[in-house]
Amino acid sequence: MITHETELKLQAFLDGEITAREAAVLKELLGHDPEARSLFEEMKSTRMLLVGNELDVKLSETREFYWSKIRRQIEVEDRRLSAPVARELMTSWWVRFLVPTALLTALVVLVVVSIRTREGSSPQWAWEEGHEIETPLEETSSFSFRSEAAAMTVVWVDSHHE
Amino acid sequence: MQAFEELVARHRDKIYARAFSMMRNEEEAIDLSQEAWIKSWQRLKQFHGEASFVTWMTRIVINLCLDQLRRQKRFRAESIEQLDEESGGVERQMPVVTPNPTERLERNELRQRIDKALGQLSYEHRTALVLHEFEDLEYKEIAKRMECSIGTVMSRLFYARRKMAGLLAGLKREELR
Repeated sequence: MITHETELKLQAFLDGEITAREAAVLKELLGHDPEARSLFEEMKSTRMLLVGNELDVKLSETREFYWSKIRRQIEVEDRRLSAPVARELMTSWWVRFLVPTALLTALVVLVVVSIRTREGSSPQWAWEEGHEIETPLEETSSFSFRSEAAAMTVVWVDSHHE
Repeated sequence: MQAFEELVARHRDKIYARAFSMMRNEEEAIDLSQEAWIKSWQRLKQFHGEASFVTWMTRIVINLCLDQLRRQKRFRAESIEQLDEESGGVERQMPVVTPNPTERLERNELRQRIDKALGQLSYEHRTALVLHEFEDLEYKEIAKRMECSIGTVMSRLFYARRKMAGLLAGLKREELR
C-alpha cells in the first residue's frame, strides 16, 4: 500500500505543484505501481468532472430588492464614515472655544468670590467710597490708587534706586 | 452609484453563487454577497485592474465567507481534523473508483449532482476544493486564505477529492439502478 505522503505527492503532481525532479520519480512510480496509477486516475477523473461543472446558482431575489439593501447600507456606511470628521470638528471647537470660556468663567467666579470674601472681612470704605488700592506685582514695588468718586487713577512705581 | 448598480446587476449571480458554494445556506449567501458589494464600493479605489473586476469581487466574497465560517467555528481545529483523518481516514480506506457519470447525465443534471455531493463535504474539505477547482488557486494561496499550512491544504484537498469520487460513483450506481 502506498504511503499517505506518496498519495499527497501524486495529487501535487496532478495539480502541477511539484518539482521536475519529484515529477520524474512519480512518473516512474506510476509506470510500475498499479495502485498508485489507479489512485492517480481517480483523482484525475474527479478533477476533470468538477472543473467547469459548478452549478449555475441564481439569486432568487429581484434586482431591485437585492440592490435596495446594498444601496441603503452604502448610504449608512458613508454617513458613519463621515461622522468621525464631524466629531473631530466638534472636538476642535470644544478645545478652541469651550475650554478657554470655562477657564475665563472660573477666573471670574474666583475674582468675585475673593472680592466677596474681602468685603466680608475688611471695612467697606473702599467700595462705599469708590476707592480701590492695588499692588499687582509686589516684587516691582508698584502701587495703584483708583477712585471712582474722583474718577482718577494714580500709579506709584518704586524704581528700587537707593 | 448608477454605474455601480449596473455592475451589481451584471455580476450578482456569480458572487452569490460563490458565497452559496461555501456557506451552503441561501440566506447567509445573500447577506454575505451583499456585504461584499458594500465592501467593494468602499474599496473601489483599491481596485487597479490587476485582475478582472469579477475576480476581485470574488476574492472579497470568499474572504467574507471564510471570516464568517471562522466566526461560527465551522472550521475544526487543524489538529483535531488531522487526528480524525489520520486515525479514521474513511476516505483513505475507500476503494479507488472512477467517477464518470457524464455519459448518462445531462450537463445540468450532472452539475446538480456535483453540487449535492459538494454539500455533503465538511466545510474545510469543500472550501479547499472550491478554492482549488473552481477558483483555480494554488496550494500556497489557499493556505494563506484558510490560515493553515500547505500540508493541511493538500490533505484537505485529497480527502475532499476522494470523498467526491465516492459520492459521484455512488450517484452513478444509483442512476444505474
